[in-house]
Amino acid sequence: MNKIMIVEDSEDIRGLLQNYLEKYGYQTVVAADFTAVLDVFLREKPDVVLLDINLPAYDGYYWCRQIRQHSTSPIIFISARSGEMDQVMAIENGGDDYIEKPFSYDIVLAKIKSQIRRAYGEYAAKQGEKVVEYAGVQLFVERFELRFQDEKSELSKKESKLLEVLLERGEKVTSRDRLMEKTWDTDIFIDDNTLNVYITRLRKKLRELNAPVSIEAVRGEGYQLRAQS
Amino acid sequence: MKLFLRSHAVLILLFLLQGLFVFFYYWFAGLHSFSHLFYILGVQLLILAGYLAYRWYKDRGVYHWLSSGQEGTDIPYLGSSVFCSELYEKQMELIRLQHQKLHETEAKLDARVTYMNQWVHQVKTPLSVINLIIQEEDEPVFEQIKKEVRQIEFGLETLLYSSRLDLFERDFKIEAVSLSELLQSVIQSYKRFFIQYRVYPKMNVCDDHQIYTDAKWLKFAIGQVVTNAVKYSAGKSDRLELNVFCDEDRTVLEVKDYGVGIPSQDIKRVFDPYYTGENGRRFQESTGIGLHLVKEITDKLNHTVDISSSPGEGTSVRFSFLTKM
Repeated sequence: MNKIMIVEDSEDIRGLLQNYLEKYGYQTVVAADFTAVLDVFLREKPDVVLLDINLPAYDGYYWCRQIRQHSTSPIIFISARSGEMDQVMAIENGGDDYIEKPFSYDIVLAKIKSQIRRAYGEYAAKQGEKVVEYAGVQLFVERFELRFQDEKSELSKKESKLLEVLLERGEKVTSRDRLMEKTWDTDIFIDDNTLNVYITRLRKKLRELNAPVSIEAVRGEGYQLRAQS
Repeated sequence: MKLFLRSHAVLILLFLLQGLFVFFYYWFAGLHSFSHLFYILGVQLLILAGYLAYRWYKDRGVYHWLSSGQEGTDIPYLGSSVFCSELYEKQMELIRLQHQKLHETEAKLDARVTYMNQWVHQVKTPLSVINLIIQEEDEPVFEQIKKEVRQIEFGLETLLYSSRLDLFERDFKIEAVSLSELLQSVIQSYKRFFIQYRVYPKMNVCDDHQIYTDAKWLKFAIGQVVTNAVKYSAGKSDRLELNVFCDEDRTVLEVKDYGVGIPSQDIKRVFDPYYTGENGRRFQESTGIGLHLVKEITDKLNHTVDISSSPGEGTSVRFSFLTKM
């Protein structure tokens, strides 16, 4: 299990990030004393550090330089500063990546994964094949493959992406907006009508697998999955 | 030299009058000897010439300076006479005062921009928190909140850029930029907006054309135009076209929507600051600052922007870029 250290002075953001990352199977450590960030780092030896720039006492750049004297672990800056200069400074002070506030969980997770992959290589990458599961239905995200018991079905990239979101959210209502946003790729995107078509296709594929899952439309809100017993 | 003579014209005239007076006085007093009379006149003129020559020699710096075109705020050394050095001192004093005022104003402006930036960053943190809290929720209430949060984010961004605009000269970098890549990143960053209003962008690019611009500022300017287009298309049309035409030495980007259009009486003034017009009143959420910023930015970047619209049919905004430096 990878350990992530969060250095962020906003308690809310710290808590939310901690919850989210733990949900995705990371161990988290927070530094609450901003005069002793290095001590916490040396004691806990995290795999990745999320570091805010504006901190009480010393700023993030300072701590980054301090950490760099002892370790080469990936350090990802998180900051509200949006200037080019700040990003340059972050990288020049030893940071590996930069996330601008306001950010989304997806970005944080993706960047953490990529840093872990890069820094710790195969070992982490192998672990990383993402499988989403709901009521026994498995989706192998990287292979666009849907499985239920021994049956397999190939999906298109867009279908896989849609189903990934739906399976992840399960019974929670998933809005059409979210589905459209997740499948949006530069100027190739799914509009309202195409989304209907895709959902119909996904329902058909689930039926063909005899999967005990149905995609239900929620009027005016979106879709939700329902497990049939 | 001309100026010098002109400013001493009265003196010369006075001397001539005096000369004539003396001449006629002696003439009527009974001195009919021309040689004497011309001698007196000649001495007087000599004295005048001597005086003028002396003045010219001493003050020529001032006259040169006064009659030359003004380049910059520097004052050349004016000369050593009392008049010249006093004038010089006075001017220097004036310039010093002006500089001081200018510096004070600049410092104030700087402080203002810094304050604005800090303020925006301060607000971004609670916004991030709200975002994180509601990110996973899809119920209509949360969709509504997300929409409002987005609105705040747009507002903050506009604020940030408009305050930076005053210090534009220190904050831009012209380089060759691929227009189609830039457009793609604009589309990417406004995708939630497109989805929210159900307006879908379509890109028609001739080739991958390089333009010389500052990517950050141009992205912001195009973003402003795109958000306008989306806002005024919502519910009426679901199309938004981003067309790129290439001429020999110009590349033109057209942002074309099929929305409500702009009334003809408003179209001339849409680039004026704080002008909102009829659409502004009808649709709210309009500050009249967006298009003004677009105009300012394109001017500073040496691009042109113009707008045409027919009410009820749509609007097209055209940016024109020089393809060569």
